[in-house]
Amino acid sequence: MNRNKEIKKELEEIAPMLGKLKDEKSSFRVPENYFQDMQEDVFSKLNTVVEEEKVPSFWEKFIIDSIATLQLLLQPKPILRLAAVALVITAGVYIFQKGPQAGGQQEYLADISSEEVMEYVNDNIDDFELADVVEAADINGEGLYSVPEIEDEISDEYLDEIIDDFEIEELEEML
Amino acid sequence: MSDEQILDMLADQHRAENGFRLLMNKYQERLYWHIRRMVVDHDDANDVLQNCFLKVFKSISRFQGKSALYTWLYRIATNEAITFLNKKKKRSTASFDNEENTLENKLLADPYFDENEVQLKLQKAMASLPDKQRLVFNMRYYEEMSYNQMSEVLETSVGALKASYHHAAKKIEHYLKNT
Repeated sequence: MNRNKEIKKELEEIAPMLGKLKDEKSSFRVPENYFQDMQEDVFSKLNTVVEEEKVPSFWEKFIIDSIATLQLLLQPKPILRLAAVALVITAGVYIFQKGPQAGGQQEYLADISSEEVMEYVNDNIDDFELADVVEAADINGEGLYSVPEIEDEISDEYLDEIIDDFEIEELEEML
Repeated sequence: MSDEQILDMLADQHRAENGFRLLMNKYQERLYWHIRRMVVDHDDANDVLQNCFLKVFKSISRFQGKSALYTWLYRIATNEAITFLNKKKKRSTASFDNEENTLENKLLADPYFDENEVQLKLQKAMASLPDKQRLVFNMRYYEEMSYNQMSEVLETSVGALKASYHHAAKKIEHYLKNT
């Protein structure tokens, strides 16, 4: 049984009127040469898209590269790693300057090498909050590790400037 | 030309344009009518079909051959049509007209719809169906697809599709008899 007959038979029971209308000519039409013209429209759009994708201007390329670099720099993990390394170095200098002291915990910590501390921090980097690492590293309270805040300010300003030049669709594609 | 031959051409940078032309020649009419029956208006169908082909061209390299080419194309066309209808619903401002009257006005204003009382009534009946049910009805009634083919395109079980089609056909029949 061909498909048309199968469908009509199926309709006989549930919708006989629909079954009778099945082979009526549709009222929908298309304009003359529609499919040929449609193909040309599609190719013309494709060529436009390809041209746009092919030749980014110097400034477009500069902005795209800058955003990529900023995104990379602002990712939390590299910042955490930098802060963790700074923490280890500062802790080492602090312990070295103060010399060995009495007291269980400090004595115990003094026995741990910088390499061991670094390895521990690297292995457990995901357990550290950025703010804690920065605070811990700033032992002398000199605000030496406020780099992320400065970067945030710079990046917000910079991003606001360059984002204005972009179309929403372009930004969505980049993110 | 077979789908495999078309896909081979599309994979070759120098023959891709010709390959894409062949793909459009082979499937454009089927996809157009699939979309047109969903969005009704010719201009809307044209926009949706062009977007569909642009998407196909851009993503053909990601086609893995896990399903037949026509299944993949139908899936893209269906998604584009449904997305278009959803956006249109969101865009449309509050109207005092109900959906059937809006459709009737639209059809009567469409130069590519031949006025025919029975067809107009049928279209109005179909407009009263939810989008997914209308889609299932169109694929079976007009495009004469098997339930298995529909199941591959819509990623829905055959049982659910049969139930949906029967329900839609009964609703349309009821509308035709009672209005």
